[in-house]
Amino acid sequence: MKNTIWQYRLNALFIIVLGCVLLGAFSYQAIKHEDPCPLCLLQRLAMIGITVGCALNLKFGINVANYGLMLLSAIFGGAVSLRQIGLHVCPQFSTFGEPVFGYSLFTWALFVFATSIFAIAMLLDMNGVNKDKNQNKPIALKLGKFAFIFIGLITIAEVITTFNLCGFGACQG
Amino acid sequence: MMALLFLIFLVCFYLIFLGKRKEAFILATLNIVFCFFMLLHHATSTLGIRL
Repeated sequence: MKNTIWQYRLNALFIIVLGCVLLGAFSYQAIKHEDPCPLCLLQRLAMIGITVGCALNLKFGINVANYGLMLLSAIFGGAVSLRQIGLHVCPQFSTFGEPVFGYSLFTWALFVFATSIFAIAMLLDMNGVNKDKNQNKPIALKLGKFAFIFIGLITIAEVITTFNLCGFGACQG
Repeated sequence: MMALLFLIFLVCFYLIFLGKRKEAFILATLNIVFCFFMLLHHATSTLGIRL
């Protein structure tokens, strides 16, 4: 049972960390007045996709299928980041946005997705060790509730800003 | 289109809040698959390649 509670806590922490990354991207957008490109938006979508899997785990109990959804999102996000790195990798082409701590934001996004895949593997490993029959009982953690509200508000903000930027049409960039 | 994809994830969170696991899971998976198509669309439109 103790192991299960730790899995819930780590899932909630996962949501909060990814939420903070999204919040950082938001603040960068607000401070530098730089509109996000379509690939940046796809990376944000992938991050929210990972948090949906975590939220499913928090609400309905730990399930391997939810980790599958998280892995799918992380692989998709990694593919988008790699594509954007590939677009700007040649020195004669300009980069998108100013670098943060020496790396572009899409390179940081690749680090986030690679770390996410590693973290999901660790969580799956914990799930394999856990033989508790009560593991599907949802646990109402304060941290989980906070994480759920936090990512919900960020998703609402993403919907509003993206709608202001490109409406319901395809974003140009 | 991007705003719609974000909106679908928001609907997923709402479904989770309502306690509808299966619906939320299927919607989120389909959304990610659709995102893959958006990446493919971006690749074909910017590079001008035909698949």
